[in-house]
Amino acid sequence: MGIVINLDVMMAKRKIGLTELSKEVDITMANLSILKNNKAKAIRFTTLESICKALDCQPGDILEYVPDEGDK
Amino acid sequence: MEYEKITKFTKLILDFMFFSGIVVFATVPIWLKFAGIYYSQKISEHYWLMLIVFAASGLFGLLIVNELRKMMRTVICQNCFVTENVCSLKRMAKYSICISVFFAVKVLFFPTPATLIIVLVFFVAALFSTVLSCVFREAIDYKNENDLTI
Repeated sequence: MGIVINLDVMMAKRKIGLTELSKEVDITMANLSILKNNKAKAIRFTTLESICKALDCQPGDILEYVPDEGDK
Repeated sequence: MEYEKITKFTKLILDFMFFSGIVVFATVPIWLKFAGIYYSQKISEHYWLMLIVFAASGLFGLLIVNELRKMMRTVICQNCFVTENVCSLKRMAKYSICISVFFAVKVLFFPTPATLIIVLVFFVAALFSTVLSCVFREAIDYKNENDLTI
């Protein structure tokens, strides 16, 4: 699995929608969806900073390392 | 702006080459007969071989120009780093090799310096197309990675 983005979990905790978050973070809905659905290849520090600021959380709350089946 | 003008102009030239190429391709048997009379007797002696070589090479030449037209369309749309262009370049390499082989056969019956140059040019073109397709694939990978960096 590798790095998993738990953005939807954090958004649910903060009771914030995709539209509202995209406005606060200043990225498009399409890019936010890519991020939320774990389709992104990389995330910029600036984006991560904005998301953490908007959701009032730490990067570790959004990013999680899940070992691959073979790594276990 | 200058870049757009050049690409559109190149596309126009390629369109002209493609459609005029179809006319030339369709009339190969006629002008080959004329070439046999007014240019070289050897063409008349090996008429069918020449017809096969020129018609087949003409067909592959048209296919190459058509692939280039497809690629130019993507350049005009500012979306040239796509998998279709990699496939186009690979196909162009195959067509170039075919032309090279046909002219290599022609050299055996009708050896001229120009024919040897054509064999070499199309062989090098095939190599370049293959290398360029690899470069395009790399560029597509970089582009995808960049597009998916949020």
